[in-house]
Amino acid sequence: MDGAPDPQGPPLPVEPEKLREILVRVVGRVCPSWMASQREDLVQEACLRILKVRRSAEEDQGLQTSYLWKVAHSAVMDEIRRRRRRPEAEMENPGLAEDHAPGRSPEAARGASEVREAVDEGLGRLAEPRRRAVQLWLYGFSLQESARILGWSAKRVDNQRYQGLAALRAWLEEKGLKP
Amino acid sequence: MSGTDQRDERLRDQWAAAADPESPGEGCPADSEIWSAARGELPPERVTALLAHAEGCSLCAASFQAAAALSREAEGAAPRTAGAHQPAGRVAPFRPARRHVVTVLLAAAATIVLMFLLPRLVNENATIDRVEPAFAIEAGLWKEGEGGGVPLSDGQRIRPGDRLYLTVHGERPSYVYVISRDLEGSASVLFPVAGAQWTNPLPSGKAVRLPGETSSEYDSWEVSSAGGRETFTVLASAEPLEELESALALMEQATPDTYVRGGGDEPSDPEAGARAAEALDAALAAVQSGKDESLYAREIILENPR
Repeated sequence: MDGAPDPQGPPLPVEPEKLREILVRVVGRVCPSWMASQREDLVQEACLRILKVRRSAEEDQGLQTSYLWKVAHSAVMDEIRRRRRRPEAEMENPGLAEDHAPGRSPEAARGASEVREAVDEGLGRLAEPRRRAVQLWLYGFSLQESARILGWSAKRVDNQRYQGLAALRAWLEEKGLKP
Repeated sequence: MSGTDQRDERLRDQWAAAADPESPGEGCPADSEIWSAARGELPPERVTALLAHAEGCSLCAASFQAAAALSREAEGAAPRTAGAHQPAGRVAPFRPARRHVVTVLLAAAATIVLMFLLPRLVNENATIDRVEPAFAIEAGLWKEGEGGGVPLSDGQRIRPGDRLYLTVHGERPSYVYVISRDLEGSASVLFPVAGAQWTNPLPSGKAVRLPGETSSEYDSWEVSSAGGRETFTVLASAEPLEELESALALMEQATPDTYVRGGGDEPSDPEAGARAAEALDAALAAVQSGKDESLYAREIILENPR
């Protein structure tokens, strides 16, 4: 299949600053608004964990570079889970979390929440192939990546995604929502 | 980036920003498995199961999002951050212009060479575009022009008033089905239809023009209205596809000389259209996955802007 990833992949940056830059971008994409005030800490924790694993790897000299990317993924998700479980004030007061989200008013956050709910509902109404294609698009996968993941041709992904998004738009309009 | 693209980007950003991952529930896959899925290392069946789970689990959805973002970093591409537009050079979901490069190349070929029907040649990893033919069908979608037929392929533009036809040349008698769908989900059966000159199975060893031809004139499907993007699906089989035929019987049918097309037309039976679309998608998926090796399938996507 075209576009298959290099099984090794490029090495994760050695410099902590560059590693941190990557994690900031990734966490910025994934981190929900209620966790906005904790992003820095989350990045820091994940960064430390990755550097620790890498130091061990250097000692072992047997770790594949691709493994460290997997570690980065796992570290970010572990931190999200850990913070999700933590009974902090902002989790008890969602409004506070919204206030912390940079550049987002409470109204905007509520609007996004409404859109998310409607999108999830609309997604469930799509035929299976369209749903999967749109779902991967929502997660941020490119056409080629989605094709590789689903084992389809890029053309099929493109078509299913196109039709699925058109149906989703129509669904949102029906509900009076405009992203 | 078009207005639609920008709206879709905003939609995705809003969707992502409103995530509120719950604590892991029962049956959540390990992050390592989601990572493997994101890298294309899992079988499609397992990927489908993981995606089905992630639909109802915002934490696993977030794990997929993290995998997408990290995977992109790992491949050295610029990441897509919240609020940012898709970087140039990547394939966007709505970018018809990208298809035109392919279009020019394919149009020069004059005939879209399709393939198929012999079982064993479709291996597990084959895609529709890669199946090696043993029993070949040559099929071409054409637009009538002043100097003769103009071949149509992916991304080319059609407009109301254009007259389209399909040529099929099979090495053995075959059951052929031609369906068009637009963005609104409106679908039409173009072939087989009542009253057409040809009926299934189409004869072998000669070029057959669909929807038909008479001694004095040719029939064509006339595009009656604009409908955005149009997908023409051609399915062929050595045996009749009874399940598909049942679904198609409930759908809007083109007449032999008029191809009523476009978003302005309400489907006569939307539910039947949806069922037929499901049947079509299932047939296409079966061809693509190699599970049904007795089918030939081809999709041709044309632009029919409003």
